[in-house]
Amino acid sequence: MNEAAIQRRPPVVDEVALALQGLRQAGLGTGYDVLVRIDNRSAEAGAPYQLDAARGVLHRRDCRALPKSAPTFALGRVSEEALSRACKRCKPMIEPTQPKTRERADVLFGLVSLVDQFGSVLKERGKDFRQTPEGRRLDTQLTEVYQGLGAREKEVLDVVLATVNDILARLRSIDGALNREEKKEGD
Amino acid sequence: MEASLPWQPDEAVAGRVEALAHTLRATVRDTLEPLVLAWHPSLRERSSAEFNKMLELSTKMTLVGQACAEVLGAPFEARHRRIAALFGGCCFLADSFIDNFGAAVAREYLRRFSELFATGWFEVRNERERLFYIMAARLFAERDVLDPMVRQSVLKLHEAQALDALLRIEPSRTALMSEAQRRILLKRVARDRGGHTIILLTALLAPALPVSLLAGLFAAGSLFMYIDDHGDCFTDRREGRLTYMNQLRRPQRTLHKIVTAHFLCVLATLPSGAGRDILLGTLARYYSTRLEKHRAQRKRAGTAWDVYE
Repeated sequence: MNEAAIQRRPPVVDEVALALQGLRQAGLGTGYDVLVRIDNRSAEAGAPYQLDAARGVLHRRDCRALPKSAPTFALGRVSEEALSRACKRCKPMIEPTQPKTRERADVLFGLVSLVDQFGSVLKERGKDFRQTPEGRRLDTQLTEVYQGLGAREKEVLDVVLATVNDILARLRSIDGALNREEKKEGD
Repeated sequence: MEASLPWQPDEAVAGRVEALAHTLRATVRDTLEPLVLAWHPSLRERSSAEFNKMLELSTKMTLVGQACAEVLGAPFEARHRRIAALFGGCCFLADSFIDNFGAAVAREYLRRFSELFATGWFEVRNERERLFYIMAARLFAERDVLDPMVRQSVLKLHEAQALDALLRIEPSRTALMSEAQRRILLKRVARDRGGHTIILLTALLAPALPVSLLAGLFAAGSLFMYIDDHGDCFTDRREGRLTYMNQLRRPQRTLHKIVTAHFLCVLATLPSGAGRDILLGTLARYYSTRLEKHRAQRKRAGTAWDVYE
């Protein structure tokens, strides 16, 4: 394969992204209503804080000093730094029991990094790893995280895990095909 | 420049902005060109003017991205330049879907973007959409897209763009409004389009957005949009596109007031330093070049109000 052809070859990661969308068109993704949901407005509606981006002021939800036309962001939790910009009328304060969404997300991203690390031997290594003290600790932690998720988040996570096998299979298939092609060109 | 601004770039800042724009343009090309060649080659081969326009927009985004990262004290390395370039490419293509193919197509794209953000599914139907999807997928792979600020910024920008498009393709939405009400609405739409663009770009680049810097960043983003709409005043009128700037009898005078007020806001809310200098230097440069564009368009098409009338 010449240099120009190598440069123009679509990277595998793009093929995977397209293949993922192709699952639905091929009927394989049916039943999965949500692949990944960026639009989280229904959950954000209940957030206790509103941030006015144009003025850089933090309000409690439903604060009357918050202009209706303000470009706002809903916040489930706030930092000390955010409180330095607190509205003088509604005086938002840090709630004692804020949801630990950040910690949950960190653990989920830890899971993703494991997927990335173990690659094609994920299941086999996963079985072994589960028997180690670290694996047992993580297993307990993940179970707690899973139980703490809402119904929609569980659905998303289930879809992601269910499609990991499909993605890995396609990756192996594409990678194998590319290797064969390169070998043929080399010969 | 027409009149004095609250802040003027000195030679060193102006030189740095020029040098950065030059360097970043090459980086943006290295990031986007292979994707275009792989997934939408006709954009590069048959429509080089449009391709170059995409590079220019992405270069501007990357320059602004570097300024914002420096304001926040966040790193701006190869990965961050790649994020900013991809973001610029996505914005360019998304705008083209909504602006370039007529009202019915624009409505359909708005519906499909809403579905993409609600479900993650996006049925790729042609090369241009394929390129957009690949850029978006790579962009979202670089950042935790479920971060509350990131996911809300995506939605807020989409909502502002959708309202802007609907005001254009559905004139009935503003038919019962007074002139003043219409202007207020259009000004807010421009503010939000620009403001949410820069907030999303910064949220993609930095791990966290300090609340104390939000207003300054939002003001800078909004100002880019007002300047942009002023430069496109005549073209937008001819194409029947409503913007705040093309509803004014003396847009240049109003723009200068807006530029002054927004510069003061940025100076008051963002910490002094190289990042703020680059941001204001880029805005001053953009203001100057877009005034020239506005004048050139007016020479070709009569007075501002004549064209609209």
